[in-house]
Amino acid sequence: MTDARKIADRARSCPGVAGLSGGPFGVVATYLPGERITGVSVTDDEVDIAIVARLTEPLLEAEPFPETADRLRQAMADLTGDRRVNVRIHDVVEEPR
Amino acid sequence: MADTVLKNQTSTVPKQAGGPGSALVTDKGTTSIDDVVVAKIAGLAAREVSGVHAMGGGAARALGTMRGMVGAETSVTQGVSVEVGERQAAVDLDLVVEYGIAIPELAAAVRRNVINAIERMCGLEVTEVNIRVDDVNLPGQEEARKKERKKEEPEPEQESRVR
Amino acid sequence: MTTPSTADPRAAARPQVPVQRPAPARLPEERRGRTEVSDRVAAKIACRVARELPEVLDVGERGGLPWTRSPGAEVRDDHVTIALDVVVAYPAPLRSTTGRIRRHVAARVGELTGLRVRRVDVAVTDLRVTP
Repeated sequence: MTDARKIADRARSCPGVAGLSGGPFGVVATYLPGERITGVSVTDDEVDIAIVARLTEPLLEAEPFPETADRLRQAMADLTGDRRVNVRIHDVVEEPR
Repeated sequence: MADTVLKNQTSTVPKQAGGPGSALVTDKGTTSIDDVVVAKIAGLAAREVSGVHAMGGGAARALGTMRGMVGAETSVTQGVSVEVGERQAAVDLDLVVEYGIAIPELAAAVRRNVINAIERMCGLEVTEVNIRVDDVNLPGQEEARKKERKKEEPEPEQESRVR
Repeated sequence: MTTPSTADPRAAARPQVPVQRPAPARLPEERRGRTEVSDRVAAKIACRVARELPEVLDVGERGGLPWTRSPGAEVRDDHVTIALDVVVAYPAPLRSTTGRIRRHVAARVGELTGLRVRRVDVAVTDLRVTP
């Protein structure tokens, strides 16, 4: 299950992603021996990722969340294979461009 | 709750072509957006409209001012409440408007901007934006208020007290 | 969130979660949702627009700041009733002056709030000789 860690690293390096988040109550997480990976959970046919999205200004030019999610899926396609990747936008932070 | 949203979407929601909401459920996986995210987008979009002086009812604004005094910035979700379903969202806004602008036109402009922002950013259809105009900011009101406050509470002699 | 839901009759009428409608012809954005104007807003605007008339020297005010004391406006659905206390310039024919104030306030409040002004009560509380 080192997949989860790789997926987390890959997600964090996506431009629209400010960070990973466990969601309320930290439900989205993977537990490895001696380690907890927040914001990613992996099963045989699904990957759940919870992120804090980065919102650039002006609002009118910011990237829509579904597109951010698609970019995430593409960025980790080699790791996730044909599993469905469910992306949850848990929060958003504003950042001037 | 969030958990069930994810599970429902992956298994039972049929795909629909076109329109807002269709981008959220694809065969590659679902995208779900938390309420607070939708509320922040709504708050930012409403504040972009000139004529909107502030947001939130009196109590919320007073709290915001107190928070402002201890350094934290006013929350963008102040005066915003949302209900978010799988494909649709409804928004309630509390506004303080500038005096002199016709409220029906201002409300229409706020509605347009909020709906466009949420539909574009979140891929959700916005069914309604209900607007409550809670107060109006009159020209010269803020300055007069500050003056009044100064009259009532003379500047404390901070230096002498601190040392 | 910040909406005082207990005092808000809309809250009860609204469904808890937006209904997943089959998306009929969508309303234009401007018409999606209601607009509500508070009593305070109608009152402050009424007070302010009354001052636009030169013969009105003061409105709804006996000491204190003009906006700290509400001269009274009550909004019900899409209409509003207004009560104003005014101080007018002397000499001025009282009846025609109050008539003018009433018409002016009704027109301007209607324009600025989008509400239908059902009635404007004007009470002249003082006359003041202008220099």
